[in-house]
Amino acid sequence: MIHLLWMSLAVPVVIHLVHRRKASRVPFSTLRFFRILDRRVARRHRLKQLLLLAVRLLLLAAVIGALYQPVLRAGAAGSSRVPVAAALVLDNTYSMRAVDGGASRFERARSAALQVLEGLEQGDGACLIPFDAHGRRPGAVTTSLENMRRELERMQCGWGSAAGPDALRRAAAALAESTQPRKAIYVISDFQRLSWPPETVDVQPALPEKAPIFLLNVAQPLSKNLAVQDAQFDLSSPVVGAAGQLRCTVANTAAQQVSATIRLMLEGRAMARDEAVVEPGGLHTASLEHVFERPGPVSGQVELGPDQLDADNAFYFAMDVQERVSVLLVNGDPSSAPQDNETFYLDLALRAPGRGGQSHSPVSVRTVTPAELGDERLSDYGCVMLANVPRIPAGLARSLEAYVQGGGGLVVFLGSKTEAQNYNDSLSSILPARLKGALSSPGGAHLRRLNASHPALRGLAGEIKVERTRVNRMFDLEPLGSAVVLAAAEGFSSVAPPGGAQEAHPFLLERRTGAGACLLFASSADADWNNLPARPFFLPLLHKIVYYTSGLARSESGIVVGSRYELRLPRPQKPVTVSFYGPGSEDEPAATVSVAPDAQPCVAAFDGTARPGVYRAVWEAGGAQQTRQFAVNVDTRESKLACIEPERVAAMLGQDRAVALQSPEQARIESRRLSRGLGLWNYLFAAALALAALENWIGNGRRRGAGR
Amino acid sequence: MRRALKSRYYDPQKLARIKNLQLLARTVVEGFISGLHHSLFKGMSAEFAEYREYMPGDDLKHFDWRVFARTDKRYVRQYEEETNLTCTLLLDCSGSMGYGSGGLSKFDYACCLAAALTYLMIQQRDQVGMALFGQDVRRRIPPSSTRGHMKRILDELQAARPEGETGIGACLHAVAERSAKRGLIILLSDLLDDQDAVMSALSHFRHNRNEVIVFNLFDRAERELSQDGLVEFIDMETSQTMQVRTEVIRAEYRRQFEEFISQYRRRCSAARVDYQCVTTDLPFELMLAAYLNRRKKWE
Repeated sequence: MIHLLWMSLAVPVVIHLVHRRKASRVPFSTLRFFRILDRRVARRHRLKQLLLLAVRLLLLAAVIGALYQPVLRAGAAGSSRVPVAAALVLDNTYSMRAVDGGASRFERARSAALQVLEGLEQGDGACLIPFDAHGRRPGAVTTSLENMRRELERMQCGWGSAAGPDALRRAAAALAESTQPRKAIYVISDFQRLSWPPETVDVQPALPEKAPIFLLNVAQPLSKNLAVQDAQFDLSSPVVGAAGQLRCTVANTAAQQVSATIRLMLEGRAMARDEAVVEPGGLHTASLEHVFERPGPVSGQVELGPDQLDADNAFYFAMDVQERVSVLLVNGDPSSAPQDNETFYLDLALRAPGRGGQSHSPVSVRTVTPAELGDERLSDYGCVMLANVPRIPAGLARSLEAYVQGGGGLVVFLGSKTEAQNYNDSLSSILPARLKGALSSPGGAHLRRLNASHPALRGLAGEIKVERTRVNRMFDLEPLGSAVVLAAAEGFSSVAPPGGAQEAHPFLLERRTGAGACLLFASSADADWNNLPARPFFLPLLHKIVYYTSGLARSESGIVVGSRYELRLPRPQKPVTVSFYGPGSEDEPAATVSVAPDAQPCVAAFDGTARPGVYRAVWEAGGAQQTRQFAVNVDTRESKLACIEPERVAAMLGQDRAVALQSPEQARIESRRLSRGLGLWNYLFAAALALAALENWIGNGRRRGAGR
Repeated sequence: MRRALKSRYYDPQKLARIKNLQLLARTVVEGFISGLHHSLFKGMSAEFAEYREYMPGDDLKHFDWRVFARTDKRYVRQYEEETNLTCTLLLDCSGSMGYGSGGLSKFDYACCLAAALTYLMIQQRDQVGMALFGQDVRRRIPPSSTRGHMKRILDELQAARPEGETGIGACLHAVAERSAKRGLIILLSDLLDDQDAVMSALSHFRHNRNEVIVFNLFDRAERELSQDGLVEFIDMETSQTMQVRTEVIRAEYRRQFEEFISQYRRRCSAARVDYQCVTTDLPFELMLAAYLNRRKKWE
């Protein structure tokens, strides 16, 4: 049918010829004025007529040619269509949840991916490669484009954080298995800088040869975004009546100053809040205090108000609040007078009532002598404190080592009866330092160099007036390799070194061994060698140390989205089924895992941490239902929204194959061009429009001249 | 303006339907004269003839105030009439004069105008002569003022046809050579000839101390090139043809044409020749008025 349209080319020719012969004959008085007119007018007129004829012919030819929908293919002219396999590498990390320009980045990316599919034809293949491929296998290339379209339309943005090079490798692997001769990769992302590290260049060899890579950036700059980067209770295992400090860090990752309210939410209720004003690129650290009033599992989150990227506005946590913490005090210097006991001040401080209206202390204290220590089951206590115990027998030393390895907290105070050599020999595997000789300072040394970032001192360091502390005697300690110095004392040297600074002697050290830790005080627990028991910070310091050391075994820091969660179980007698429930799914478990009695290790692993929130693991043990909560949070690195230009990524992937696209429409055009060749009809229609305008301009040229 | 003139005077197109030139001339002249306030035909001579009762429209300079003072009667003096003007009408009969777009050709218009002038002049006892020319002088009628002479002129006009090429300059020279008596020369032509030759001939008349009135006749379509589209023009004198797309050249044509007219006007003014550019839709009466203005100068 279209072929017949070529006959229409005769129309302008006929019009031209008919128009020429239409001259009317008129007798006229004289031709003299016609003759003296510039002959160029006539020539110009003839030229114009010929030009008009040519333009009209071209106009018709362009329109008819466009109706054929001609294409320009790479390779030999007239070659038949070659099927294409397209890998849609779609960024579904949580930064794509940012809403800018009225729609989320992910929605725009999905729309662009659909446009790429639109450009493909029957016989072409496609596969979907999400950046965050957690919980799904990268799909193979399929020729069922309709199914792919439906899958894309159903797809939701994830919560993960992933790197672009890994996604490209997966795309290359998927394309390598495709049967289509031509291949192309479309990367649709917000091009966060952290997703495209300099190592991206290493992906080049893995990419299929001659496969073009199209990079489309769907991000627009964000003006307002705060992200909760971290939130941690100083107590990994809170105790009823003990004040817990939640420290959270909020970062401004957008371009404008933002003010926000930081709320501590527990079981859906706001328990504490703080106001923050954060400059662009700045950090704000908030400290929210809460006193737990009842024992048991508790979960919550620190959250911010809505902004352009809500995905990083919450940080989840889950804990078990303990009723009380049991502490075993070992009195190495007993006395008939209570105030002369070595553990007098320790006992006094630990028995103080807790906060939050509690009438009793959150700490349960039992005091024994070194001789009685061997009869105690250490695992019943969260913390064991040795106060001026002269020597540690070998058997007891092994028990203490096992206790610490298993997660117990050992706190050692030295004193006048301490036999240094015995300590060095028997407790060398858990002590953080070797004991050397005793140091004396008649004038008294002072505590210095407090490690304020250590959980045991966090929040307290400011309260310790170091100049008012006095240490008259202490052991000179030689820290071992993995020890951490929490505090030091200055003032034991009578002569200052040439530099002017006093020599600092380690006063309080920590060494973690296995699941537990050992804290070593270089001085005594009573007031014989120092005045610490008389200082106001002594009570909270002791409590913090107890809570810190006793909860180490049970501390569970949260995991990031997409990570595997492993629940360690005591070896069961029979197979145990552990059900994992995701956030908001109370009835239907997200996954069920069976653990056999002979499994090594005895662990229930859960991989379905696809979204942030508080998860539950439920299982039967000893005839009772056990529950463990754990928090899953987004990887806050993904909140860093600094972008890299697609052109730079293209440079890393190879300028000859990677191209930065400017719009989703361009993606569709490129897809269509690869599949069908370059469609020329748009250009032909455009040419036809231009020719029509040209024809009109030429045709009206004389009238314009006459108008002047 | 033209519409106003047409409402006041006879439409040349309608007058041209009167085939009898004498009737046409009388209609034009009588109608024209009735609109004037004074008589044209008496009082031209110094020789007193008689008294006549004053009539409205008579020239007051001939009013006899003495008689009026004595008798309270109004008389005007009448004088012996005396012919002192010899007018020669030169009518272009070349083929180009045959062009007319609205049924009235330039030649028809010229004949009507010549007839009216002849009638008017004979009424004034002026001597009227005529020469018809194309490439050469075809017919020549010597001046006379009798009514029989007027009939002869009108017969010649009715018999004349526009044809052949133009040789205005040579013809006018020939007429000027043979007219020894000083008088008024009225040229009715489209002047589509060599301009230098035409002006040379007109200067010849002026050299002979003749007053010259040139009625340069054009058809409006000829002046404006009002035809549309592609037109093949046929030269009415030479039968040569030329194909022209009128909308392409119209502006340039008009400019050339107006330049042609303005050159004649300028050169005639320099030669003290009264030049009237006339399109054939203008009433004849206006041409008669132009003649009378010239006639007064003669007095």
